[in-house]
Amino acid sequence: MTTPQGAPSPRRPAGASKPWLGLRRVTYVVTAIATALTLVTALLIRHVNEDSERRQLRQRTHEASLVLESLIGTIEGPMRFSAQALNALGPNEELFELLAEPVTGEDSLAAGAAILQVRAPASTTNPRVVVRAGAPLALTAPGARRALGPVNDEITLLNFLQSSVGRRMGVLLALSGKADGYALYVEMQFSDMRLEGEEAFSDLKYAVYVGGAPRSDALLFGTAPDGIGGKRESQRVAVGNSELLLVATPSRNLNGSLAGALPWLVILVGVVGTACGAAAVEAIGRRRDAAVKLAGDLATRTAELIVTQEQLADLNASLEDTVEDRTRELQAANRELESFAYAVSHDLRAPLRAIDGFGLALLEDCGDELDERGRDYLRRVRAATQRMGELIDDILTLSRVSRAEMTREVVDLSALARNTIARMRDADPDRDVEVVIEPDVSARGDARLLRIALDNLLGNAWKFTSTQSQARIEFGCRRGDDGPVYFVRDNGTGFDPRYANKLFKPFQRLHHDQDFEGNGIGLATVARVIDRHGGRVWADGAPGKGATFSFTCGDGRGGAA
Amino acid sequence: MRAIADRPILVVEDNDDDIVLALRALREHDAGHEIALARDGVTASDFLFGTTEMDARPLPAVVLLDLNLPRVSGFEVLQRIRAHERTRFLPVVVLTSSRAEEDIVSSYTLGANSYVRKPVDYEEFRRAIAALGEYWLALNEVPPEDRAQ
Repeated sequence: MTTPQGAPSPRRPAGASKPWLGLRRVTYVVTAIATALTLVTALLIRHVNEDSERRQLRQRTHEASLVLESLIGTIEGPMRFSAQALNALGPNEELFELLAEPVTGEDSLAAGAAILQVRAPASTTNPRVVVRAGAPLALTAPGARRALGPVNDEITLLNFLQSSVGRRMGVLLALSGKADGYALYVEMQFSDMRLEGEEAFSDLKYAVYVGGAPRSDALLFGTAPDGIGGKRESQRVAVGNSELLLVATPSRNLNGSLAGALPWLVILVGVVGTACGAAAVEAIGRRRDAAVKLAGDLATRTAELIVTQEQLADLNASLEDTVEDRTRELQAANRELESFAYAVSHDLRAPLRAIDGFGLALLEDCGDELDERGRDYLRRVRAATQRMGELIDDILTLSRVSRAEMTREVVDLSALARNTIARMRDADPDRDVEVVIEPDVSARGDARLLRIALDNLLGNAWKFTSTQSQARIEFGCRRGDDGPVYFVRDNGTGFDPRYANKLFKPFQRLHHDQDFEGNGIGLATVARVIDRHGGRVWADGAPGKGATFSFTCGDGRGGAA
Repeated sequence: MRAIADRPILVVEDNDDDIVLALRALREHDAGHEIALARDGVTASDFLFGTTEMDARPLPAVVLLDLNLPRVSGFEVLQRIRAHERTRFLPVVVLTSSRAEEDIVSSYTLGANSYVRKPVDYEEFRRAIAALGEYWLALNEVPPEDRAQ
């Protein structure tokens, strides 16, 4: 009979509550921990790669073993096993096979055996776990046979291990028997489950001996087909006087009546080696109730694990949603910014044009009516409006550089530099500047953005060499630690290296307006361009010694698109 | 066939200041052409296509078209000009504050002949107007009006 949730077996004798006092024939509990325990955990996160799957399995195994350790650890009293004669049972070939050394003995050595078959649900829609015991079989001397009672008396189905969605993942059994000791042979038949391309998962066997016996080392054995998910990992854990053997067989690609290819984890637990020769058979654990409770806790913990797993999956999914939401918001903000930039470019410039235009009209049409001071004021008004116009343009460029989509291609920086220099020579034909451009310097990057960067760097060099009688500007490339380093060098006024870090911040200027014009956005724009390429930009220089601006262009991977 | 010198220049512009400054620059450069003014896209359309078949006026030699107009935008005006049999070859110069890439691309896509950004510096603006006049009124040959129709 399978009673749910660890309800006591109704046919258990009344004396069962003090099993460790009655030495013989006392009903005792073979607790859940001594029961072969199968924790079958479906890992529900999809899209896990093999490595993380393995890692999670290992983690799960570890967690489960901790749970079991604590479970065993809380059992009161020593685990002792009787050397008393066991009731002999009939021969069990299969069990013999499993025993490392068949147990024979002159004494009244006997072992009780029960065969449990835990059958996997035939279908997921109608999960059903059948627990039955095989015929009690004698191991040793005939006549000493002791049959276990009807199996329904011996086995209590404590709990199903089920996931939060109600899928049954395994069973937790508590066994009670009337024998002093018996070997418990648990066979779990997952007959409906098949491993894809691997050995059938149909014959997972595990035997746990919890009765008294003369040879403790022969008492624990198990077979779990190596084919189940490949490698079988086992671990012996000392618990009190006994050892606990954990066998974890991670399996995967399990296919069959449980729909889908879910990764599984199977953990088998048994008690290894016991203190033999003890006079009394004592239960593992003082009371069946305690064992039941502990087993229940274990089931709960396992279920929690599974729930956590599912929650994690949910969390992952919701995280993805959140990321999507944020991305949408960001895109909306970007669009807003773009329309703002448009408005700035269009609407802010119109009044400036009027101020400048009418200023000039005033100078031209009514200049005679103004004195020199008045005309000077008007010229200042116009100069200021033009600077503001440039400022607006530069801010727009900076914002465009930050937002523009990037495409990477091989860019001929030497050609870009030559073009820029040619334009500056055209605009400023009076300047005599020696320009040296290393030929065939190229970089992988966005052509338009790199042009903006080079324009600014060369423009700066052009500007800050204006006071030199023999101005010289150089563009080239040298080998650096992590790839090519491009540089623009000039012999201009240079800068105080103490302020080098301020150079690349917007609106930071190291020179006075009256010396060199500028609004401090150019180098910020350069920094933004290089940053988007995943590169670095820095400046070397000293007052009166010229300046060198160097940059790298990333490795082709860096830089946000 | 009406000589190009007889044709007006159509300025489509809604900003008063820009109108005054543009007219000033145009007058400085060329006093000969009649300058027609449309303050929005609807007026510009009316000028070009007439409200009825009867009151269509002579086509301008060139249209200086702002993009940011009330009611009917500069793009729409441009679209109508190119769609209309009579005006499909009409030289249109977009003259605007914007340097936004999408504006430039849209303008050419819709068939603008030229795209000029109004400089803040009035002297540059004046040079731009002078250059436009020089090019579109003196150098450029347009198809005769009757052929265009």
